[in-house]
Order: sequence, then structure tokens, then C-alpha cells
Amino acid sequence: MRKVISLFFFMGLLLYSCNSQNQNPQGTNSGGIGSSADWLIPEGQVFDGGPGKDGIPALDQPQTSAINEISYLSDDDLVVGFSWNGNYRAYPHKILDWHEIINDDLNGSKIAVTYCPLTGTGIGWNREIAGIETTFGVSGLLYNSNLIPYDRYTDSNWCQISLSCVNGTLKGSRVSTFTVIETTWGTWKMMFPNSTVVNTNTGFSRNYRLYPYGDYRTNHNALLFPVNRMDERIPAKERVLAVIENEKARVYQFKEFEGGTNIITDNVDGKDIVIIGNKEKNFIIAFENMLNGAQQNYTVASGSGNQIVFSDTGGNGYDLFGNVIEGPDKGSRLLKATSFMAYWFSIGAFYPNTTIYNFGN
Amino acid sequence: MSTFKALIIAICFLAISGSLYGQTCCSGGVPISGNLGMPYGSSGTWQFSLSYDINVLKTLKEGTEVLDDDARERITQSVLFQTGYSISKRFSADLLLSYVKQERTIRQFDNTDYVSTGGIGDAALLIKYTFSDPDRSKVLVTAAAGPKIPTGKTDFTRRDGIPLNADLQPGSGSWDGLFWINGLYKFNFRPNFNIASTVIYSLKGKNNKYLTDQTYQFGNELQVLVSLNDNFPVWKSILDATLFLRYRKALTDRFNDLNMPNTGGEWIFLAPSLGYNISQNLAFNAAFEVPLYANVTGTQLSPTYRLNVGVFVKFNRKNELLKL
Repeated sequence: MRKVISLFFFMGLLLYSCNSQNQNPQGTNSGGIGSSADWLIPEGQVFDGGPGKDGIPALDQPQTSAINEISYLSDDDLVVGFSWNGNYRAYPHKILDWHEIINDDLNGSKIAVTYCPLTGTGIGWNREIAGIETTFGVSGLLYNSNLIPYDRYTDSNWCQISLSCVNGTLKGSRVSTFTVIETTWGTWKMMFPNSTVVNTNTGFSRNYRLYPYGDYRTNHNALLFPVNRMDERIPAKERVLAVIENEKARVYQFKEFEGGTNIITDNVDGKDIVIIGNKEKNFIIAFENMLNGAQQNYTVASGSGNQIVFSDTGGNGYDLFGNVIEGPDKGSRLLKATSFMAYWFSIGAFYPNTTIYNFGN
Repeated sequence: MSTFKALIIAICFLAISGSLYGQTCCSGGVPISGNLGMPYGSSGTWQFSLSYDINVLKTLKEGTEVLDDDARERITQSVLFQTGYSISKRFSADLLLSYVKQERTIRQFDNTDYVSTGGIGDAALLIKYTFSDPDRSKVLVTAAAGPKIPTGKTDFTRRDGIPLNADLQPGSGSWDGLFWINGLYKFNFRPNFNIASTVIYSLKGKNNKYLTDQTYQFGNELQVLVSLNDNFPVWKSILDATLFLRYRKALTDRFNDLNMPNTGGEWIFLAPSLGYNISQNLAFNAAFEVPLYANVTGTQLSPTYRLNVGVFVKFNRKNELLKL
């Protein structure tokens, strides 16, 4: 009988050992929720992505190499490119797929290149918020499948596509952005041969030649997390340029930019913009149509070297970042429209009344 | 009796050690199918086992390659209660109930992020049939089938209300089909020595209420266990020594009928196990399992080690339990 009593004691101990750290019937966690439980986005549609907070480690001040020292990229691989004060740097998707955020300082800029592999959105965020420099990390949370970065200064959670803080002490704040360009490695190195490139010496053990999400980027049916709505006017994973103005979105497809570089002038919710794209070279970028207070007429540049992509009737030549690198206004630049490349489904999910630019209409 | 006390103390120590594991992280899996199947018992025999299982995953792998990254840790602790009843000489039924605690810990950039859930896990029922005559044959073949019943919760959230993914839930939310076959061969030269093999196939159903209205399906799973077992007298009791080799292949999970990246793979484990038979009807056992080979799909955490300690009781006559 004594043995039986001991057995029951033992059973009780086993149950205790398994349960003793979970007094709270809900999951417990020590971070990633900011200082407030209130969210500006529907909390029930924020999901834990699986890896956990910092389970996908952001990079800080990454090591870079010159273009001719890079061997892990193919010409078709995509990069997010950035330019600041005459310096150029490429942040390859092959690195961003594994780290999602790179906190960098290029020639005085305080940039966080944020990239969400699930929505295909690469956006350059200014790391200075309300005059305070911070860095961003990966919270492990997703909204509409989109990355939720957290800032390491206040631990507040931000929404990448809506460019705003959605939870925590900075809730309601907006982030300012830098002009970045998404294009192929082949186009980038041709246009910016003196660029530096983030290399694979990241301090983390990853196989950067491997894409971590299977056929996700080409399978239009594959989503890993629920989204608010699916707009099926365009295949889900088609890469588009989204221009956002006053919470309204318009997208531009590569099909409008076939047969060399094309320039489109448009008006998005009252703002005049100019869109430059080239399907073969794999880039689309949008700027506000305003240089030094005056609207311009633009034409595609021809025969002026690789860096000058378009020019205006005033004799200025522009590079892909909208910098005037030749002509009377050399040193000036076009302001980038609030825009970024994305998988179509993510724009449809965030902006329900998105319009699609169509040359015929 | 002093040995008995020592064992109780040792196992209690192990149990408490489990409770000191503060943290965890990814793709654990509750060891239900791997623990299924009570030994053969003669007609009218009741068998009970209670075990504590801790499965620690902190080896980050890409395919067969170990990545130098120990930032993530994922632990599944389970208490498994199993009972079996031999309805006749050939028919028997096993029922397994589980209590599961899932933990995930990320230690990165001087921060620690910890999430845990705990609750009743899934249950399993097996109806078994023994083909050969257990009293005469040296070869004992038993086949079984039954359902895995979704008794476990699948909608745990973080403290702030954010839903956790399927991997961190105590339950799977799906009815699965379990198919089990065991063969045991006893040798002439040493009747105590036997070799056994168990094949388990788990056909996974779908959880149609994942994240409220989505569908999640864990990958079908095949397990093949081969074991060598012998026992030796130690003092007035019997020491039971077993060496298990376990092969496990899991297909990729599916979300809304599409493959989830970085799930599934193949593993081979080695697990030495020791049992201490206090009497014919009461035994304690402990097993320690380590992976010999792992080839995961994509990049994911892979098992690092697993410990299982338990107690086994059987009786087949009224009041026999009290005569332990």
C-alpha cells in the first residue's frame, strides 16, 4: 500500500513539474508587446510568426564589400539599393530574407532597411524618431502577413507597410522614409559600379544561397498567414509599385514599362507624380513631380552613360534615385513619392480601394 | 525497499529538474505516437504507465548541416498516462492521455523572449490484435489501429492576446488515424533476450479552426523502432536494458492545403533505456534519446536530446495492485 501511495505522490510531482511554470493559462512572454496592450490595428489579426522576437535577427552596421568582391549573387537576384551623399549601397534580398532589417549608417544617414519576405516590401526607414536615434528589430509578429518591426529605444511595435507605430509608447507616430530602389543585381552593378554591397559575413550562421520560404514568392496561392482581404484583380505575388497618398494607394505594374525605360506622369489623390520604370532592367520608382518648386517634363535619357536614366526639358540629367547629376540644377533631387515595391496581395489587403494604373484608361 | 526509496528520490529529482527549465523555442511535437503501445498482457490484465517526457530542441539545422546558432530553444514537456486492458488472449485496447507544456525561448541581443503554453493535450486510442499465440510462439506480432483524438487546446494566445501558431499549442485540433504494428522475437539461447520492431504510421487530419477559420495540417509521420532488450537480476529485482533505434520521417505541414516551408524531415535516434523491475507488476524506466542523423526540410530547429522517465504497473486480479 505504501508503494501505491508513493506512486501517486510521484504522479503528482510529474504533473507539478510540467505545469509549475505556467500559472497563467494564456501564453506568457517577456517582450515584444511594447508598453501597452492596445493596438491601432486589429489585435485579433496580429499573429505570432513562429520564430519569436529577435528569432529573426536584424543586422546592425553590416560588413560590406565592393561589387567585384561579391560572388554569392546572380544577375537576376533582387537587391534594395540606397544612395546618400554620393555613396551607394546594395542590400541583397538574399541577406534580407534571413534578417529582414538592416540598421545601417551610410555616410551619415541613419537608415533601417526593412524588408518583409512575405509581402515583398523593402522600405528604407529613418532611424531617427522625434530626434532620437534608434535601431529596429524583428518582433516576430505579423499583420496581414507583413513585418512588424520594434524599435529598441521604446520597444514599441511598428507596421512596415503603414509606416506607423501601432503599439507601445510611440503609438500613432509615423516613420519617415528614405528613397530606396528595388532592382536586380545585374542592373544595380551596371548603374552603380562603385557601390558597396552587404556581404555574407553577418555574424550569423545561415545559408544565404538558400531561399527560406520554398515556392512562396512564385506560388500565387501560397500565403502563410491570414490577411484581411484578398483582392484578386492581379495575381497575388506579382510585384507592383504602390504609391500611397493620404491613405489611398495606386499600383503600377511592370507591364506598363515594357520595351525599355518608360516615364508616366500621373496624379494620385491630388499629388502630381512621375513614375520611371523598365521591365527588362527590373525597376519602377516614383517621385513627386517637383524640382526646386517647379514641375518638369521628362524624357528618357539616351547615350549619356549608365547612371543617367532620364532628363528634363531644362537640361538636367537624373540618376535612378532622382538625383540631378548633370545639368544646371546638379546637386538637386526629386523628392520620392511615398512608394515601395510589394507583392500585390499585400497592397490589396492594406488598402481596400487601391486603384490600378492602366495606360489605356 | 531502500532501492525503491532511492529510485523514487531519483525520479522525483528528475521531475523537479524538469520544472527548472526556464525557457524555450520551434517545431517540438508531442510524443504521442512514439509512446503508444503497452506490452502484451494476458487476458484480463490491466496495465498502467505514467511517464514524463522532455524533448529539447536547440540544434538549428539546414538540411543535414548544423548551423552555429544557439539563440533559439524549444522544449516540449509532456506527462503521458497510458492504460491498457487485455480483453482476451488476442484483443486488447490502449488509451493514452497527455498533459503538455510547450515553451519557446529566444536569447538574442542580450534579451530573452519566452513564451509558454500548457494544458491537456491530445488523446489516443488503439485497438490491438495479436496474431500469433503468445503462449507458444517465439514470434509475437501485434497490429493495432485507432484514432488520435483532439482533446487538446489549440487556441492559446500570448499574454497580450496574440494567437500562437500550431507548433506551440498543446493540442493539434485534428482527428488522426494511427496504425501500429509490433513484432517481437525471443531467442532460444537466451529467453530473456528479445528483438522487437514497431512501425507506426500517423495519418494526420486537419484542424479547421486554426487561427479561428484557417486550416492547419501537421505532416503525416512514419516511425520505425527497432529495439534489443535483455534483463538481468540485480539484488532481488530485475534490471531491464533496452537499446532503441528510432527512424522518424515527417512530411511537411500544410496551411490551407499548401506546404509550410521549414517543416518536416528525417531523423534517426538512438535511445538507451533502463528499467528497474521491483516486481513482476511494477517497474520504473528511464530513456535518454539523442539524434544520430537529421535531415530537416529547409532550416529549422531539430531535436537535441530527449529524456523519458516513467513508472509501469500491471495487475490482472482483483486487489493484485495492493500486493505490489
